[in-house]
Order: sequence, then C-alpha cells, then structure tokens
Amino acid sequence: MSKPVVRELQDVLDLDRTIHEPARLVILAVLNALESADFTYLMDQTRMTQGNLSAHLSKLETAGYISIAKSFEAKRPRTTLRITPSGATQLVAHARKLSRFVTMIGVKPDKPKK
Amino acid sequence: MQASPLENALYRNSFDDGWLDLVVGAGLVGAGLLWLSGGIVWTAPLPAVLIPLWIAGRNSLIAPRMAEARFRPTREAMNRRMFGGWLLAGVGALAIAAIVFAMARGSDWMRVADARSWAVAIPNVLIGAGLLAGLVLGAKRFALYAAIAIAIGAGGAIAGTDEPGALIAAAGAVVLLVGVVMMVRFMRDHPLNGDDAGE
Repeated sequence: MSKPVVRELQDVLDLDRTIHEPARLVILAVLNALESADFTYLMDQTRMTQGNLSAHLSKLETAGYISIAKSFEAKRPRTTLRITPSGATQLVAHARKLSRFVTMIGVKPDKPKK
Repeated sequence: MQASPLENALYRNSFDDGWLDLVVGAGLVGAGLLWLSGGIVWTAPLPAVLIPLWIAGRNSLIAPRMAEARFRPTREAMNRRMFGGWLLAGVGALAIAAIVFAMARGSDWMRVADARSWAVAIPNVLIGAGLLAGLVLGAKRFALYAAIAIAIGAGGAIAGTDEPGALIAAAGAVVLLVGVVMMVRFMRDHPLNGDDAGE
C-alpha cells in the first residue's frame, strides 16, 4: 500500500498505538504534569479501576514510557509512578501530530475550561 | 517552564477537600465571636493556632486519603513567590492603614501603637491573607467568599450595625459551612484505604 500524499494523514496512520489508547494517553498526560504520583492518586484522578489502571501501567512501563517504583512507608506499600524522558518526548510528539491533524481537518482547538 | 493548564487543574483539585475553607471559616467565626464577647485581644494569637492546625489536618486527614502527587519544583517556587508577595502586600496595607490612622489622629504615633488596634488588625489581615491564599491556589470559591464578606459588610453598614464582630462571624459561618459540606463529601469519596492498591 502506498503512502497518503498528505503528510498529516500519514502521521495519524503512524501514531504510536501504545500512547493513542485513551486511558494510556490520559495516564501519560497526568504524569507529564507532575513530578511523580502514587497509584491511588492516579486511580482517583482518572476514575479507572485498579485492574484497568494496572494493565495500562504495565503496557506503558514495557514501552519504557513510565517508571514504576515500589516501596514501603509506615508498613504500607506505595507505588510511585513517573513519566520517563522518552515517555514525555513521545507524548509531546503524539500531541503535535494530533494537533496538526485537527488543524488539517479545519477544526480550531477549543481553549481548556478553567 | 510555564505550568500547563492540566498541571494547574490538578493542583487546584488537590485543595478541593474543604479543609482550608473549614480552617479559614473557623478563624473568622472565632474572631467574630471573640470580638462580640469583648475578648478582642485574644484574636491576636488565632493565626498562630490556625496555621499549624491547617498543616496538621492536611497531613493527617487529607494526605492519607488523597495519596501523594508531587508537583514540579518550579510550581513550589512559584507558590512561595506568590505567598511572599501577598504577605508583603498585607504588611504594606497594614503600614498604609497605620499611617492613615496616625494622620487622622494628628500624628499621634503612640495611639497607633495601641495594642487593642493591632490585636484586631493582625488576625484579620492574616485571615484575609488566608482568603487570598485560596485565590492564589486557584480556588475560585475564595473570590466568592470575599464577595460575600463584602456584601455582608455593606449590608451591616446599611443596617447600621455597630458590631463588626457579628459581621465577621456571619461571613465566617458561610465559609465554614461550605468547608464542612466539602469535607464531608471528600471523606465520603475518599475512604481511608489501608494499602496502596498498586499493581
């Protein structure tokens, strides 16, 4: 199959599916806005179930986009999550591709609600 | 690096537990009641009690339920600068008020140093700073509280109330009530789980 002539269309076809899945995109976006976060914080902010969040985090960790550190604090297990430099770079690249595509189809991006 | 709108929203959410409202509201009600009971001088140490109470409550009641999110060092530095700015603005306002007060009384500096005047001014400036702190954090409801406080003050002035204590307590009661409702909702939505549920 030959490539589409318009670069932005090809960019969308080439999107990284690990990041493009909505739940994983949200996880990466939240982690990118923070220095680090606990598993429970992420669960609370995203309203995902424990199992669902765990599955997505595993995929992101395997891709090298996040790091997961486990520790104990006052005898309680703690899972600390961080976005890796590679994850941050990929997220920005992904957002740029989507932004160009949105512009290409003639939609002005809305300003975020405050 | 400028904070993204998402980072700002997450930061704002981390103060949506009602604890700050509850402490500021309790401070205002306390100051108002002390004023009414004639113990104005006792309002002076009020902030010294409320600030550690806010920190202790945040660590023991809120943090274990919220779990932890660490924001970027740039945000912490930005907040320190803003709080510093507000504090300077508060001190500046107090100094201007003192000068105006002195001029009105024929530059009698001894009267400005009257302990009773300062006892009233200091906690109210600091509690006002608490309201401003809420605004700095981006919690828009604090702007609403300020508007309600002004409306109550204006209403009191029109009605000819000569007891500012009642007006301060009334404004505080609104903040306190909202704080209680938010806190109950927060406790309900964030039960204290024993363990981090990670993977």
